[in-house]
Amino acid sequence: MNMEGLKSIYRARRERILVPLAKRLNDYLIEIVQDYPRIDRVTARAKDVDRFIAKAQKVENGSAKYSDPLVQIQDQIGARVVTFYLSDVEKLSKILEGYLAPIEFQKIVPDSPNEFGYEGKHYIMFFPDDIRGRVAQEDDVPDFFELQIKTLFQHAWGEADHDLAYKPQGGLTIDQKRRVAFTAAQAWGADRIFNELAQELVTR
Amino acid sequence: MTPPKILSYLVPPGKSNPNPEEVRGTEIPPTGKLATMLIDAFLKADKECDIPIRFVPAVDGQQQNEVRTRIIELIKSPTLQNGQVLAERLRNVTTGKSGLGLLFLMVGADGPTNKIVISRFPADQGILAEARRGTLEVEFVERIFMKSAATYKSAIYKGKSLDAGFWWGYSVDKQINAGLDQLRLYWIRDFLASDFKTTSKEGRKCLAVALKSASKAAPSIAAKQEIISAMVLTQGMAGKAVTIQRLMSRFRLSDEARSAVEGQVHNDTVLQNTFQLDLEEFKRHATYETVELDNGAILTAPAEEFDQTFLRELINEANERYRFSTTGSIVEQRIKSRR
Repeated sequence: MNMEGLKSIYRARRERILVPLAKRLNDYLIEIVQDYPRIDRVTARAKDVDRFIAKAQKVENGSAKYSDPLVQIQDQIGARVVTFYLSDVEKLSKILEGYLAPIEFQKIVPDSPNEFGYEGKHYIMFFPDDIRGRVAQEDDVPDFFELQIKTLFQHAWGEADHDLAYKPQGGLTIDQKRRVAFTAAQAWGADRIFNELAQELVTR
Repeated sequence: MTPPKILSYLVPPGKSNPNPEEVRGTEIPPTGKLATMLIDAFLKADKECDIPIRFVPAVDGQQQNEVRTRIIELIKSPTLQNGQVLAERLRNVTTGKSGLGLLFLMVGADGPTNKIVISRFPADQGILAEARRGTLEVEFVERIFMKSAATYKSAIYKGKSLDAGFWWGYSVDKQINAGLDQLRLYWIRDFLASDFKTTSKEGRKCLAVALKSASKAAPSIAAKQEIISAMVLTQGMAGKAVTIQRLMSRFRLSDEARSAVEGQVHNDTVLQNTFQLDLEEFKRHATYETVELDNGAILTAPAEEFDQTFLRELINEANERYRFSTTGSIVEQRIKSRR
């Protein structure tokens, strides 16, 4: 299938299935975490058409990474729960793992202790049947969605980094990369300090 | 659909045994009575297996499951050697109590959809009786493998994509209704490296919300009372593997009450999902608060709405006298015998 054909199929799927499904997922996640005291936001979104196509075109070891992108790309719906402190991430993970079943989970940290960059807790989760609605049996309904649980600083840094990384045509210069790493280090440090303060001052 | 390729293995118990017996396998020819019976089981597995299960990820969180990997290898190349790995895995989790079993691995396709059925027939003892030359010959048989036995187990996985699919399927385990101890879950958890597709909390939440919403939506007081009774009785099922469908049958809900519950779930799959019931989440979503007064009045409302439904005023502190008041339209009223 060519990329135009794929784009057209994904666009139709997105409007008919993914957008309403993301809305139900959003409500579902809010219901699960509503009693937790330090939730900044809960979001669930269907992947943009352009970002889906960009991912579908990825090359790995000289050949296309995805032979069947509509089936293989598992983050066609992405959800995020943003909380205040690092210790909240672990507590919320336990709560959400009680309701949702993963096929993958990982704590993303930079490869080297000398590096600062993207951090967060990521899952690939099964969609609960309860929110799949009346279209539960259709092939077009994805089996999985991506769930991220982040602190406010991880979220803020990730959003800005994602936005800036898409801007330049030729990639970032060394100085720009160092400045991005500096902001990541600041966010990492702020998370640590706030978490320590929370341990001292917050009881629940 | 082309006939499935059928591999069979005699699997002795070998759990915790450093020198387990060897697993022996053979390929079943595609014709004859045995093939006919097995192909029938292969075709009927879609209906027979009704417990949704999912593969669990690796301990380190990687999107990898050893049994899924072996199943996909077997679908790609259904050889005795590839099936042997699964048969040996079954042996290594089978206790002496579960005993000897005959494992069948049936690999086929239905159009573009790949399908594999994995079945374990338990060994039993029996008596063979044959009428020959006007007499009856009766013989003791030590190893009979019976599909009808209570310990028969099976699982089915289907999918178009071998790379991205095959993360979930369905199982049948006739022992599962009796409880959830290790023996009964050795098929799903130990052998298939899987778990129920619906988590315990998710299942309980769906059940509680469905019953509670149905208790409000039911068209008659009789149906409402049935559903509220079911909510009470459900608490006695703690620890059991249940489905909403089976609970409704167990509590013998009327068609009216059943229809009210079914109307509260988003799809039929939710009614059929098996999950382990414990009470914490159920109570969180499905509790009614009742206050009984010494004048004979009984006030009932959903627990989290009770204080909004009934205004409570302290009239006399010394005697602890309260006045409760509420406002609403009467939707049904009836007189009930005191008996």
